[in-house]
Amino acid sequence: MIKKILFSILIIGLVIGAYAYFFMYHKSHPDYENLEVEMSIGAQELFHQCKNEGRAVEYTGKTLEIFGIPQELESYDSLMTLIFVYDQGMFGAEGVRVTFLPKFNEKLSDIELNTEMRIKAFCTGYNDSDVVLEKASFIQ
Amino acid sequence: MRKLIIISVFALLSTTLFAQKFITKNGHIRFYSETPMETIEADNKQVNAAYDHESGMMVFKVLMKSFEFEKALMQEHFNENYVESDEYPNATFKGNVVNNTDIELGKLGELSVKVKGTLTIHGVSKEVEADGSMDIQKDGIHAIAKFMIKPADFDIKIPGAVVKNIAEEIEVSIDVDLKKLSK
Repeated sequence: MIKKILFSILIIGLVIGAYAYFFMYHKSHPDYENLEVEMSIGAQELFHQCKNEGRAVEYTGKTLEIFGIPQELESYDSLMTLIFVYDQGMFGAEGVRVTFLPKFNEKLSDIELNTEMRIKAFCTGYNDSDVVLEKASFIQ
Repeated sequence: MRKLIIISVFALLSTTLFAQKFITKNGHIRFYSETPMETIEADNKQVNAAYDHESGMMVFKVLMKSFEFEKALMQEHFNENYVESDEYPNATFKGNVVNNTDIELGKLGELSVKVKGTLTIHGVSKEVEADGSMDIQKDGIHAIAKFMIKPADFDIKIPGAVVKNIAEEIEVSIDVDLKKLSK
């Protein structure tokens, strides 16, 4: 009888373990558009803090709300990037580069540059030239 | 004397025109690992790259958190356990095109190149060499290269439970569209 109970517990444990592993292994990427904003900061201040104060670590890996006036829009390989330029360096213009989720490409094509915008995006870090934000969406 | 002046002016102009820097901030790096257990690929399309034609210098700056994996769990493990991207957020390459003198910007077309330099990942630097090609175009250079790296060389420890899922040598492919840096 005890053997049967132990065997049943073992089987149940294995099934739960396999299910948990399968669930974890196949879990999907975050829904970036609906992630909660962890910090809000002006684009220029974000760049200044990362470049001059070495504070990129405070923002890297976080979902940020940024606001500011972008000057350029770049399109490459089906990705569109809004650029807030604040300096010049080895790699040309330096600032904050925000690459959007592809679903916003149409909206970006009609966008008016040099106007204030609020954006939500995931910060992947500062590369000694730009603060890079990805998976961006507009904040209404 | 007049001939000498003309030649000097032409030489100076040529140097100014062709002493150019090329950059991109949309470079693409892919790494690929294949074992009988699993195939793992990751792409980073936010790579900064620069090439100075005069000196032959090449520089790459790569944010580790910009690598995208098909599976979220792999991406998590890559950042948290393997490359520890919170502690080491950037990978860099600084080197030179070995056969830089073969590259003539006025001569459009493809040529083979060899690049040699120092690759720093996970805070560990190592000399690497890569074979590739450069396609000299009117408004820029399309460069591609491929080389192998061993995670162990960069002190990246793979836990025993998944050691059979990750290749001992990982293929790194580089694909960059370098544009002339306007001054």
